[in-house]
Amino acid sequence: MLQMNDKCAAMNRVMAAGFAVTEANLYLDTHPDCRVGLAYFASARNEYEAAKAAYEAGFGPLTPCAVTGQSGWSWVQGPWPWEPEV
Amino acid sequence: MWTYERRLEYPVRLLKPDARAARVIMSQYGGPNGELGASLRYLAQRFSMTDRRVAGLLTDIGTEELAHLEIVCTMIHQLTRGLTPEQLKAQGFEPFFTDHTLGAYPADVAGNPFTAAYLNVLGDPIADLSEDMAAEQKARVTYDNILHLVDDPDVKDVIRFLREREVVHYQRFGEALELVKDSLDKTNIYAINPSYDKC
Repeated sequence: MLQMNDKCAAMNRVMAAGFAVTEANLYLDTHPDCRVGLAYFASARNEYEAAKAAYEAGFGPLTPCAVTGQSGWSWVQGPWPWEPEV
Repeated sequence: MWTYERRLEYPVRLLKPDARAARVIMSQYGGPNGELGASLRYLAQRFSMTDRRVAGLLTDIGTEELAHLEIVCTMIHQLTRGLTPEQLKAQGFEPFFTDHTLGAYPADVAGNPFTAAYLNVLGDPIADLSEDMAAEQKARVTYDNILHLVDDPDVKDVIRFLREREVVHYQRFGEALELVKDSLDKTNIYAINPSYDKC
């Protein structure tokens, strides 16, 4: 149960940071010279990269390139995002 | 080129099956104002978009719409899994079940299959961006309607997220339209198509 909560918390951190990146991305498309927006994007991206690295270290790859090979082709192991984890 | 990231954009964890809600939500997958049409519309309009900033915006919003399509399909999947034929009948799901079992076929709430007639690609920046702004409002209204028809707070929470994204996309497309208009001949902006006509 503890591990499940940890996994959920790690995924929530990826989702929150990933959302900040997406939102800043769209904003910058129409405000490409906004310095505050650029600084926000840089900070959101750093948090997103850190959150992804933490999730992948504990719970498996988020992209095929993150497969390490130590536990086989882990890309197809474990539930897909549409499967609810009970 | 796209790369899949093994996660949803927003968490979906629906443990209470409700085929009636699934049927209603399905329209935002394969219906007239759904996420499939949205993603195809924006990703197709990019190629004739003259302003590079706006071509980028179409790419990025089109990509986010693919993530929304995945969220909507995930909701349908989780709301229908494990139901018996009797439960599916009682919850009004038998028309869809007959043709597609519990597969994620893109159709509207009445069962009409998805069609490219739900979107347009005019190849004109002003016409396309005006369509995009209208499309975001129509999707927003559809999510409003869905919120009237579903009860589960967990379902409503995800629908509210998707609804909010339509509002943000509408704002960005409005800014994109201003960027395009600013770059056109201000004395005659509607007489030319900057993607095609030479003036």
